Amino acid sequence: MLLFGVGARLCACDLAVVREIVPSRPATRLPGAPEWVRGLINLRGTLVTVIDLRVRFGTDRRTDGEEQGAMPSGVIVVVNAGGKSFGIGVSEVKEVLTVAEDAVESIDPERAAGGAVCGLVYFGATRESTALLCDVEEIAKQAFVV
Amino acid sequence: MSLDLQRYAELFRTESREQLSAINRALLQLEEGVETVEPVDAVFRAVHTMKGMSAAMGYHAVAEFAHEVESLLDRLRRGEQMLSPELIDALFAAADALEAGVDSANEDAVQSPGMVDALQRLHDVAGGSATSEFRAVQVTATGALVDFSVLTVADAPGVLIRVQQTANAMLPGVRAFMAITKLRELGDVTAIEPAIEVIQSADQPQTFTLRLVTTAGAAEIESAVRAAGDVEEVEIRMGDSAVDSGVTAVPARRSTDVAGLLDEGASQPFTRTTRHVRIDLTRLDALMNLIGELVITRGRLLQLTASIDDAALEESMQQAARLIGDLQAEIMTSRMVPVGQVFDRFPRLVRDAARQVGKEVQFVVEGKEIELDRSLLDEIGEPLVHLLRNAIDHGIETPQARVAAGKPRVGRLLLSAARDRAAVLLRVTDDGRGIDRSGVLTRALTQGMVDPGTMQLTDEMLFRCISQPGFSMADRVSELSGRGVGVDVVATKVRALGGTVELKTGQGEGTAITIRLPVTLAIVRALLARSGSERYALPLTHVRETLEYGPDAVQRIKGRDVLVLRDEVLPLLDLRDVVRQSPGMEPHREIIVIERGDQRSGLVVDELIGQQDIVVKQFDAPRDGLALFSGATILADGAPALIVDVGSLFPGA
Repeated sequence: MLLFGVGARLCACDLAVVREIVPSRPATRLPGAPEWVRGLINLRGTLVTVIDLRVRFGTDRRTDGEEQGAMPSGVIVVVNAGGKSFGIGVSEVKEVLTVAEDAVESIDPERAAGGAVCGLVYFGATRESTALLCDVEEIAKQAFVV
Repeated sequence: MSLDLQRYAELFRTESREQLSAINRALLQLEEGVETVEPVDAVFRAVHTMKGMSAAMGYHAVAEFAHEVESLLDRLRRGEQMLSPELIDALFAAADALEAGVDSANEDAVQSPGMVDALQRLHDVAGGSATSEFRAVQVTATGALVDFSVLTVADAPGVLIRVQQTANAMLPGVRAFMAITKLRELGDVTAIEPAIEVIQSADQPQTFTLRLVTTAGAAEIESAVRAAGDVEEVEIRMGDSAVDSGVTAVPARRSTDVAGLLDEGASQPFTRTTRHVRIDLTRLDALMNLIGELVITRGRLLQLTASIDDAALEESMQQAARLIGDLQAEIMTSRMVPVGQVFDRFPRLVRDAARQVGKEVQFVVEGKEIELDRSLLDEIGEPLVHLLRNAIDHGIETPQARVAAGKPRVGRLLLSAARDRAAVLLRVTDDGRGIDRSGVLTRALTQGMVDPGTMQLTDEMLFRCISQPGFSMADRVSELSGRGVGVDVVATKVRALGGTVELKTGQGEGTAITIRLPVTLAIVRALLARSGSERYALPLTHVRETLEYGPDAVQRIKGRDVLVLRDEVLPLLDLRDVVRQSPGMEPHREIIVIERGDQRSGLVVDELIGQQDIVVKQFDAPRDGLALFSGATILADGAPALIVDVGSLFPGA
């Protein structure tokens, strides 16, 4: 799994969906799209829509003056999920984790971040740390017209 | 599957689809009663080819199925099997099963239930042919029914054989005598007409009939006759079925040099492959993307070169720019494919749709050879299907209604393609009842879609009304509009492709819907405009002119800013509002006059950046995004910019 930070939170996602990790870059705003869609970036000639997880999780409301599409800090995790290729804007990427199956606890998706989070991952020597497991497929489903 | 086979699997599917399209085409000809044996041969050849290809791929289920169908077709070719409407239906079903089988083909697949059903049906129909009513494949040169009257004695035993010699037969008498001698080797010739002496002494090519009591099959009989040479045509009627069914029509075939036909069939693909190479579509797309980037870079380089002011550099740059232009043109051309590739599946579709609703439709296709960019062609099939279905469901009347209205019983449906400068026109025309103009007007008035007091709808207004999703979804509208259902789907799709839709209709005369498409989607010339800190591209196809924003041009009428342009008053839109930006404080702004059909308006932007070729790229649009972008492009500095679908800025769009 890939461990990354979204604001102050630790999150994780399945490494299998991750295509690459690129530095953040200015995105072209998509008028009318939800607030948590940052915009379009040019990834070596291909246009990729970037979703801002910080806004998506509500940890970081966009502050006044920071327009959608503006240069954000952090990195972009490019993923393939739900038949789409898109970017997830996060604060920083921490490390790649190997966790046992029993270290993942499912949670009711209704309760967490509107379905974007599907579980808790326990890790560390004594499983003392936790991260939110992101449901990338579900995020894709919510973000795009399927 | 081994790597090698995997590589060929896609090729197999592509070629199979071509064969299937040939099969459907030939079956349709048979159904129309084309009076030759060629369609049967064409189906046979295509099925035979598919059998070979699927066996080579190791798709045994498909190969076996094709083999079964082929055997039946062979009997049909030989005249041992009669062609009936039921059999044609069963063959259509077999073609469908074959198509499904090809799509899901793999080495381990067993025959699908669809294939088993189709085979069962074929066997049922073929087996029961002796008692069903035949529609003969007409085989004589004149198309007249063969008259066996002289020799037809209902309970006489034997096979009736009719032989027609070729028009340029040398020594016809001798040839005929040889044929009869050959037949005598197979059994007893019990009757000959005309008399053998007459046949033998003939010095003109002739037709003669004889009765043969034999155990030999039709194929054997025919080959015996043909061995004599100069035989144009052989018709064989097996005694039993003739007695049982008592029909005068006979199954037979015109075997005009079948060997020659087969040779031709075998050599055709060969000559084709020497001139054409199949290329994976993704390669062409990659080439297109690269040339797109190159075109963008060229623009940037030309700018830089101009600023350096070095004659030698300038010259080299001009040379390179020209070469890039030529390369672009070549790559574009290599992506062009004839619209026939999509049109080819429509005759079958029209047939099925017309049958479903009990309409009689003559379907005509024109301009199959017109070429369109591959990416557009893939997208245009669905809207065309929609228009064709609409024409059949709602446009063309039932045969009874047509006769009552004094029209020919069979409706005419025309699908045509034509080039018009940089555009391609695709038109679906029917001679049906047309759209009920007053009915649509009444409805449009009640729904407030047109100004109250509108007395008459023009074709354009009519189209705008029926292409409103709400309007066409409304109940009763299908009978009202004649052709309205789902037009919004077509309009939306075509707009997304950068095209426009026009409609012409006359009550009782029919409807013509024309789709106008750019020849290619990939690179368009566009105007770049700045709005705040953002840049947007507007395809030039919809841009009429540009002018300065100022008090001279802009006036306030009824509380709204309008543009007064040469006695015309045009509504004004602000790009900032369109893309939901806050109003700006730019002191100096500009206006782009945009048009769609005969509608015009002015679009106010902060700054015009200039014209350039842009490469249109698609992206996965997020939910709720504004529907006014037809795609995006990458600008010279690498930043993405959205392409405004100008057509959608007009009211009623």
